[in-house]
Amino acid sequence: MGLMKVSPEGANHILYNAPGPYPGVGLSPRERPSQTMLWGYVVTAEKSPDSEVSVSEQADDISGAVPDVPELEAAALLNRMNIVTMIAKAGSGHPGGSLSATDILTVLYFRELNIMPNRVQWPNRDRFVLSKGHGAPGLYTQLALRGYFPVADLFTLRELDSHLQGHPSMALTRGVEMSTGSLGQGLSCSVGMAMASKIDAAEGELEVPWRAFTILGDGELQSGQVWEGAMAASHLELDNLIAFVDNNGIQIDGFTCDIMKVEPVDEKFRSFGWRVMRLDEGKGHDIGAILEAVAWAKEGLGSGQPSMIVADTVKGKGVSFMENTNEFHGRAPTLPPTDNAEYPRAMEELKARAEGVLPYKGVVLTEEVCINALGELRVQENQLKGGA
Amino acid sequence: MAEYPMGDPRTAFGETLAELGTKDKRIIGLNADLSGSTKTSLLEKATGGNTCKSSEYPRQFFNMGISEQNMMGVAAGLAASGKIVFPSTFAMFAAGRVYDQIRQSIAYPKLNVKIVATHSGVSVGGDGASHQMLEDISIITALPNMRVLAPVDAVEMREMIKTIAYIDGPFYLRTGRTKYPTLLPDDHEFHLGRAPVIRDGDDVTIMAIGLMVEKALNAAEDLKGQGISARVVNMSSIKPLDHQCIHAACKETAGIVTVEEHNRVGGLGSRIASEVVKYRPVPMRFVAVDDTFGRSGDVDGLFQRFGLTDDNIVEKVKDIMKRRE
Repeated sequence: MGLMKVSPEGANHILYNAPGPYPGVGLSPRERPSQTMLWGYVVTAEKSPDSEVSVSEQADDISGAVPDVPELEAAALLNRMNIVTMIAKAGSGHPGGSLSATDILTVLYFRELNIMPNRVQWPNRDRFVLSKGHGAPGLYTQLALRGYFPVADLFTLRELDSHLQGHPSMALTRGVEMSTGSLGQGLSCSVGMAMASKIDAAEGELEVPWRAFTILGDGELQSGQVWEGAMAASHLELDNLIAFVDNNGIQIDGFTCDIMKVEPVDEKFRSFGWRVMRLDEGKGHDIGAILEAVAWAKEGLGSGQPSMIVADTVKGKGVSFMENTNEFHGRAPTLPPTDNAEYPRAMEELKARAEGVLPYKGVVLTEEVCINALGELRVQENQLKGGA
Repeated sequence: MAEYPMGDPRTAFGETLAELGTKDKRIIGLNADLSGSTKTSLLEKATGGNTCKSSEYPRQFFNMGISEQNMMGVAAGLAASGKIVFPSTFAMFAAGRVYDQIRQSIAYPKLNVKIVATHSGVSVGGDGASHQMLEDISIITALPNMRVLAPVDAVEMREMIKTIAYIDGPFYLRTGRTKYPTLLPDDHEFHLGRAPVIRDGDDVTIMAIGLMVEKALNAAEDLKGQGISARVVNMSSIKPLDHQCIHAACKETAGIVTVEEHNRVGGLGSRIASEVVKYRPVPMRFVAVDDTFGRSGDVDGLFQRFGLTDDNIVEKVKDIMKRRE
């Protein structure tokens, strides 16, 4: 079975204000409150039979196949759609910083992290710490699409009984390796993890130490504890630690360079004893460049130095009116019936990009139907039938 | 006054940690440039570690330097990776400087981090107010998931360390700088949430922690001579509190005097009071530092200055007895 591309005309879109739980998507016993507000994307009156997707049609099993640049780009696009959608639905959240880190996180979660979603406690897994914890939506979509929890959970972000907290909670959400949210702390935690791995490897329990990964914001670098962690990582020669700075240049109150200069970021880490690579001039969103950078970072094992990839990124990347502004650091896009609602406009842009992107096998690029991009189709018949 | 043999809780901590570490590779000790004072250096020696060989693994002891916030984050990362972590430093750093780190990375995710804070209270002595932590019980007890302990002597310290290493979740344990009189028998068993009654009595209850327990015992002896029978309880488990013991004190005695080397605001006394008022209000008096910072001085002078004395305890007990009449 090849690509199934569903055009807007033929698509059967679900309204999330449909009352009752979505059957079979792991929502029970949570009762979905009925909502009075129409917020779904495009509403079609008619249901075209041709567009129905049978539940029994499964995508080819592509597990084992290593996703390459086009697949990763498709996955990143899907992640962006999920980020914008879950935040819009929640009514609050941090789109700007979630979107700027999406390409990096997609490369990690879809390819570079040595993880097993069905074995969360696997002791030899790589660990990833979202030090910029407000980018939680960006992390959650990765985890959901990789199968740590049902994709439909994404649309309960920040709800009272949801496991998806505004900032990652390791006690609540499967796949979250550390609770974060207070900036400046995650790097230290990833240092501790890297130390544990080195200890276990030296004890002979691992052939090769597993890696600790983390991503920080550039505003976050204003926090002193980051530099304590940087010192420690270098002093303890944690060459199994790979860190990123999502260098989007903007924080809550404006441009980082206006509020409290952090540049030159790469030189700072270099002076702390790290090996550093900078992805500049937009390469922070270039999947190919990110892949090369991670490969370079992984080569650092044995060098005695932790690796830092400073990625020059665009805050809000992917949605034109969210890009390069602090306005969408912590504000959700507006929904209809607000005038000129932002959410539908954001989704228009993202969907338009879907046209040109080689689709991932079995991925149906509609925003309401959230698909496990590694091949499991989670479309439910009832959802499609019950829509409108 | 009774003479008790002196013991050293800090050394007891260091020795017990070293013993645990040699038996269980998961035990990790962390320090922030105070490993001599906190005695985590004993773990380093016992496990063949060498701080100066920074990249040598495996190891069970790390000196993280004067970076306490990083140390707590590192503790969290190690604990999340299956280690049993004992970060140790002076109380004002172990509670104050790293409050947000404990809250976000240790208490909220309930990680296996056992914070051992030494040099708490005014008995720090000459170093003065900056080093005399009088608010740690208040702030750490307010964190959900944290268990807060204050061992009464070296015996209880040893038993607590052995026990908390194998109770899941975060702990905060506070002790002082000085030697402590040994009040408990060597075969004492520590149970979380249980406050041992170390002197029976039925007129008034004195609930004390740490170095103050000896003073409570001296006061009780003094009171006996005046016809008052005081019960002395070692409230070393501050969170969780021994509610049964508090209820018994309310039912069986006329009132409670609490004694602590800590601010009366938010300390042991406040915590006990909120249980007393809920259950069965009885008169209470608080022997504690009266909402001031400490100052440099000799230990006994400081205790006198801040009212942390046998005589003050006796006076407070008699105050409660007067109300009875």
